[in-house]
Amino acid sequence: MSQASMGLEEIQRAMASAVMMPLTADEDMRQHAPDGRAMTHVAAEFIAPNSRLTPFERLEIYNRQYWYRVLGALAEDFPAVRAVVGAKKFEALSVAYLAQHPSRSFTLRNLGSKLVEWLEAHPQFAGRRHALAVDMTRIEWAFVEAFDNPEHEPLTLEQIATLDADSRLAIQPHVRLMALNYAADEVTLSLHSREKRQASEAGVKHDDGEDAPVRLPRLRRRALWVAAHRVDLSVYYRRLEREEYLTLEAIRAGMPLGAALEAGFRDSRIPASGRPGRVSAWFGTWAELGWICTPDPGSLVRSQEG
Amino acid sequence: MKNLNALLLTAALSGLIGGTTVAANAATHSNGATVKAAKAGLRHTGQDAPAKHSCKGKNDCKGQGGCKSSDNGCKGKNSCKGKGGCATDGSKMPKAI
Repeated sequence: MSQASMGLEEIQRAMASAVMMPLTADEDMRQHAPDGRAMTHVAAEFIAPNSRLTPFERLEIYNRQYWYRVLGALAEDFPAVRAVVGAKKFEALSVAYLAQHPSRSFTLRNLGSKLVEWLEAHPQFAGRRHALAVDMTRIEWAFVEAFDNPEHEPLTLEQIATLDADSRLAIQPHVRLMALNYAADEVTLSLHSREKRQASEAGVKHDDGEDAPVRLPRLRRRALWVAAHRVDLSVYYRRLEREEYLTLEAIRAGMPLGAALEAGFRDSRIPASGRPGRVSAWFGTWAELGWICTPDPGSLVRSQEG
Repeated sequence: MKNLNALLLTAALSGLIGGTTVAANAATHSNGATVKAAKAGLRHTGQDAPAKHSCKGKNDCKGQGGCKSSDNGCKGKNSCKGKGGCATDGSKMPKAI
């Protein structure tokens, strides 16, 4: 088939699949397409040569730039994960991940959206620090989401006055809740500070000598609950109590307020006498930070509908 | 159990009212942001620098380069050497006078 007989959509699809094809170990374009056809023929179908470059060479430039761009973008969003697994391993991890989850959006912001689930299912790419790397991936992705997820109008006093046990609320989309296995929040933040320091000291940062994973103190496994969120265009993180996290998750899952409070204290060790005070403090802080909003107009108060 | 649930609900609602009132009062004072930030937890230092993520989904990066969706991904990569920077027709970059 030649360019003349290909429709625009066909050309775009052929171009996209060629450009998104992983590079060789030497960062060249592969000689053969996944269907076995020679890439010299594939390229010639929709790219003309010029006096300096063959169709293959012209297509190879786009193929390389796609990979350099997406690999750079992913490394930029997950600097702590990269430091913990090591630069070389992180690149191999990124290539394998992006081959399965190529860019599907106009913005590279969404590139790492499936990385947590993917890394959980592919422990071989993270090595012996797999569980920690998954926690850190979760945190770094949460920072991306907390930075630019939407923010809705928080609950007003008038709306609060209509609430009862059957009311369903919502959590702001920029509030990202995480259940972790390590104190990965501290490690991530200290690696981010280190990264920032190095970048400002070096001016232009070089990757030489960064292949090895960063040295870390021994970390003990322990359950930890964290929220990443946004205040006045800055990203913050807060540690949460287990029950606080479970209550927020239940609200986010759409449970009525009364049921969400019950779910929050399931198997809790907090004595019954101490619970109302805790709940009042949590809801006070959430309201102050504007975390609670309505799911959608009309579904706020069930008892008013029925 | 029913009493405890009622107590928890009352506590939740009183907390919501208290927090919303504080937020509303803070918003009318100049130190509102500081008060809110004090409850927010630890600030993520990576956000101090506006450079790399500032353009995501926004228009303010237009014409400033450096945006992830911009096409300057070949900076500093060897593959462009001798091929005229990022030009895909193999032509040379125009020289500055």
